[in-house]
Amino acid sequence: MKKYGTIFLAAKNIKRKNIRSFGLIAIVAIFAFVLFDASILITNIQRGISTTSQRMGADLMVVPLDYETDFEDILLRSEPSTFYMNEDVEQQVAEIDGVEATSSQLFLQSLNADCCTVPVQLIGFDMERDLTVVPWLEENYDGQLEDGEIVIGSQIIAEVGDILVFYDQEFEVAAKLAETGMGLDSSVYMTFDTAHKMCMNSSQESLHRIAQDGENISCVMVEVQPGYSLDETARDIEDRIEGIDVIITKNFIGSLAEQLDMIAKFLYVLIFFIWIIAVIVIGIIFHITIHERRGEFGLYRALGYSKVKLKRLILAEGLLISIAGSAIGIFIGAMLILSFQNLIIASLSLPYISATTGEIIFFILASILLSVLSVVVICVLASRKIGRLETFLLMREQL
Amino acid sequence: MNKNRISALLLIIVGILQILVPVYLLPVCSKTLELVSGNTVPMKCHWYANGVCLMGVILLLQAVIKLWDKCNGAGKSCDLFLIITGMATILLGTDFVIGVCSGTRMACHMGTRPAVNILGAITIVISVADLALHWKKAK
Repeated sequence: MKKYGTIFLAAKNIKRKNIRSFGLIAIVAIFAFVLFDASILITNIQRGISTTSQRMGADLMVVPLDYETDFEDILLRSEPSTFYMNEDVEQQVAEIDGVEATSSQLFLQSLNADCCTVPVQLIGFDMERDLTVVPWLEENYDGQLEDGEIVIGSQIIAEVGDILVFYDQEFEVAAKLAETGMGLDSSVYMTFDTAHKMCMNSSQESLHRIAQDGENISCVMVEVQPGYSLDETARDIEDRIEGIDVIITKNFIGSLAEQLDMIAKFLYVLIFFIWIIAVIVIGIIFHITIHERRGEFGLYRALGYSKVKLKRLILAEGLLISIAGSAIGIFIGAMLILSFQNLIIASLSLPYISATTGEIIFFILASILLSVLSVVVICVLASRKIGRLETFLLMREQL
Repeated sequence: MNKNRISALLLIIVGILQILVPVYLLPVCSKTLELVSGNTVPMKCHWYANGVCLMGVILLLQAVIKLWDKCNGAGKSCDLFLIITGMATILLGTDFVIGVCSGTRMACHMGTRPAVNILGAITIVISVADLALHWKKAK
């Protein structure tokens, strides 16, 4: 006689009761989906904020008055913008007590660009003194940027050696920067000299002013001396220089961390509620099913199945259902979160860096483990009832 | 309800979604490109959206034929054509056929193409599963 293993019988039982099994698999799948996607989302935003905080480099950022929002849009949402102020501002900032070092950057919005179809942010920086771009650039590029050379963010679709055209002029890509999860990933970087030459040679009259009138910086990055208060130094700068706004990097990062905190709290509550609902529903379904199947279990007992084997059968059913449910949930979750990553980044307006393969594998295993454990515990509790009933009592249900 | 009908109904839903995604659900933008002459032309994504809608209509018709195919005679060939339709839908989003705009933060790049690719993949999975069932039945 052919012997059937517990797993085989469990699979047969699941297939026989396909609507009930489909319902249970769907509940586990929803839980695994939410658990996996929420974990990936929180981790990716956390890493994005941490990288942003490392990348900022400067303690304070000085921008023209009323351009604070534009500046944040460039940093977070890759919404390009052009604004500038007089280059004397950098010198004035450098003379204020507590200021250790300064460097400036120039922000220009390109016209529609071949590389990206839409306008991109062009950023001019000082190769010798820059506090933010250069440390970041040094990770991928150890040379000096020459005239006509550019460095591109990770979201720009081009490779090193490619030629990109901005304002009817050709630029060669010298390096591609590592991902930061910020809007800066969609920006193009060039030295001040290259930016000035581009403005001068451009057919756009408005750009000539930038190169000719000394209105050639958009923001000043400031490093504050140790021992000086960031708030007081920022206030000092705002009091002494007219027509500027000062952004304190720590506060900027802090506000991002607060937003993450809110999102994380919402997601944790969501995971908890879905887990509770899943456990209650699966518990009730298993309880009712086991009650209904008492006659069937009596037959198994009459055929020589021990109580332990019967419990194993129920456990195997739970195990198969939870593995199938969590695999389906995680597969759908991974497909959605990886496919719509850029849409999520744009909707959240928070720095976001994709998880590594190792992290994804960890979250897959953790989500499967938690989903399977929850169902297995329910099965163990539900199957205890079977162990307490005698065979004749179980058999009576079949009659 | 027999399995052939279930898969046909699922494919009808996928076909309807494929028509709605590029126009209403996750639409491509309506921006235009300015030529040197001063004229404007629609961007790549406009043609991509048209292509996806057309493939959606073809998918919908195939699924309706599959639903009413009571004698099951066209089963296997219908599934094969559905697999090809799914593949063609995914290929529309590559530069080899039409592609989408190159800006990674553009609506077509962020939303439309991933959604259409997922629908294409679902079409392929359902059709392959259905084809396998037809083969099993024939044996």
